[in-house]
Amino acid sequence: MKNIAKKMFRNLIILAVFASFAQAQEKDAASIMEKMHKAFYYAGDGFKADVSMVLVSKGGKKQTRRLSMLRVNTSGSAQKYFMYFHEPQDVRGTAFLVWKHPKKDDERWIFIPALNMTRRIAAQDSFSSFVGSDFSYEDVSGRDLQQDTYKFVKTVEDFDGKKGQEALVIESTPVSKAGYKKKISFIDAKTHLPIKEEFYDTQEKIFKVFTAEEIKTVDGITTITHRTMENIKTGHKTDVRFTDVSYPADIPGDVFTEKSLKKPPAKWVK
Amino acid sequence: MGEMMKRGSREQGARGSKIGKFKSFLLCLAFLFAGFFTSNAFCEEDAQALSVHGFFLFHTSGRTAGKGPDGNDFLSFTQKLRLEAASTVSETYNSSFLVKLDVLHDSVTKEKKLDVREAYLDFSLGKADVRAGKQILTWGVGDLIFINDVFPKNLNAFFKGEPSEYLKKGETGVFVGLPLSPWNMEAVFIPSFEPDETPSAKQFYMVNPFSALPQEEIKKTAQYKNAQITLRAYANVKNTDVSLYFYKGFYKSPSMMPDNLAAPAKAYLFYPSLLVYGASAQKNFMDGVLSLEAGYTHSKDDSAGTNPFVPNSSTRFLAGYQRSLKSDLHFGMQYYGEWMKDYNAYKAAFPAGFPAQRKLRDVVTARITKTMNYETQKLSLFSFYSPSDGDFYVIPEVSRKFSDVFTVTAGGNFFGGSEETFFGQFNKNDSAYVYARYDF
Repeated sequence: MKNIAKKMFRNLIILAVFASFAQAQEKDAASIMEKMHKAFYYAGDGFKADVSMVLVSKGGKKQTRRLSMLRVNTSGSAQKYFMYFHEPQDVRGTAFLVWKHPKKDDERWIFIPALNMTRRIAAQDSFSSFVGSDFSYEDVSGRDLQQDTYKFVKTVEDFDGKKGQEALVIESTPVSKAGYKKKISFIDAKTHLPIKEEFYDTQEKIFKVFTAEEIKTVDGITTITHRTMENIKTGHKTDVRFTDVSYPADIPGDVFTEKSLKKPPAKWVK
Repeated sequence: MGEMMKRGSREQGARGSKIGKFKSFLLCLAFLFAGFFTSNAFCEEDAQALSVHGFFLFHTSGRTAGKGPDGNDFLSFTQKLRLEAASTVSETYNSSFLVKLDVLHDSVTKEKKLDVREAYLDFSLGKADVRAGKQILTWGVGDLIFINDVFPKNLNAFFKGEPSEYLKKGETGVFVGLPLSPWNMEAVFIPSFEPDETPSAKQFYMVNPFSALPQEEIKKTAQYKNAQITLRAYANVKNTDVSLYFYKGFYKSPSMMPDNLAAPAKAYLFYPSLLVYGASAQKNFMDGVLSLEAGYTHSKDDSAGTNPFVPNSSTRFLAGYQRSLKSDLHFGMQYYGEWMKDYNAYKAAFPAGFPAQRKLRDVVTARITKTMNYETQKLSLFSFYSPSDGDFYVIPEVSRKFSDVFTVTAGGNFFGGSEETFFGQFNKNDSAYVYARYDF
């Protein structure tokens, strides 16, 4: 009897140790993802880039989008985005304004130049397609960290054959509505930028892959300047390049208002 | 659309510029090219080069409910060239200009026209943004329902199924936007009157109690007393977009009045005075967007409501809600009401034998839009239904983008209801349309 009690006690201790180890790993995984979010979606106080997006179908048919993007970090994890479309021609001058709020629906407005009309639009599911591309809204501006749980999987040395590139592999499982069942992120151990992300569907098969194709240092901040998102199932791919990237801290607040939807400030949007 | 086209119809053919204005077109082209070659010389160093864009549009619309009053099956067979030139003039003054011209030929109506859609200069004076010239303006939160949007519309183009931007007409004036905290102010001063373009009586069957009489339009001349002023104040209050509106001007759709009620020999088309006081609010609500708008239209020329040929004052309101049902499926619906003031006075004065309005006219709208194939295909359905009048208007549309610059759209305009109601009177004007657009 004594022996049984001893065994149980020992097992309990082992379990507790494992549990706390697992908890520590989970916490580590969450803090790695938090660092990734900061590096990828929140870098600098403000951000400015010209974005060129090429959508390529399996058959090689191409569509292009060209836009100017401005971002400012406001309080906490709140952000404001301003996007102005230069191409395609039929939407030239169309502009989006997004006020991203943590823990509640984003506020979004669209400006239609042909009618000189500004409208608030329903915050679409954040995992729906961003302007018809393979990127979802949350791929562009980030998903609330609390909406997933995280598990540290492993560390990969010399990721993708690149010597010295250490990747931390994290598995994300959504706890609220999402566009994936599971996501495996390969995060650069030094910069905390995502080098690759694999999105799994309900059948546990990869359906979408994000790849950071080019990383440059801009204003002292490592930045993904070329990225792709490929839909494995349909063979459709979106190729995004950032040019004229900077991290200005002085974008005025009124850039992120209805006023500038109607007339984008020439200094910031060219 | 609530206000438009309720009373009279003005024949548009006579208003369209004829090819005799070809000279002015050449002048405009000369101006564009002169601008192109000299822009660097005139502009500051920080100015950008002139950008020239546009599109070629082919549009045709065919009647599906028999021949029209003109004996034609086609409503339109139009070729249109859009030229748009824009340039930054000075970054320091946030100044730029834009000119949008349409050159068009319609082989059904024989219309050849140069239309200046917009032509304006933008600049900043201190905190104020100024836009001077011909410009398109859209206010209010309604979807194809206009309460505080007092700017001119073109129902003739809309009923033929032209692209939706042609529902709006430009108006020449000076716009001033002044960002103040927390309320932002906008004011538009419009010296010359631009009426709505109502459906052409040559092409559309509709109610016209004076159709047998010669008609004369009493135009608004460019006098100080005919100038219009419209104001808007807006703010984001607790994540709600709130706007207040005021308009002093005229009804944009003409009213009709006989020269003599007992023995009419002529009918006059005229534009009664109008004051509008209104407000709107829009906010996120239950995963969608809730829109509310209301306005009081004060008919200054008939405050007591006893003149049957001038619209009575009314209270108008709308409530709308839109949301995504799925990631590529969007749904919106609205309820609109128009409550006539002094209805008893209206009924008492109204001549027998004319179709009278109801005290409350209400309209329910629904819009459903589905996008497919990386937004290269779009299906949409917009419908108006009036519970009070029992009439409807349905617009199904499908469009496909074959490339970044080439899009084909097909759709229809289908009406139903009693011949004496707003949508029902167009019952015999059902049509289907196709347009192809090439952008450059």
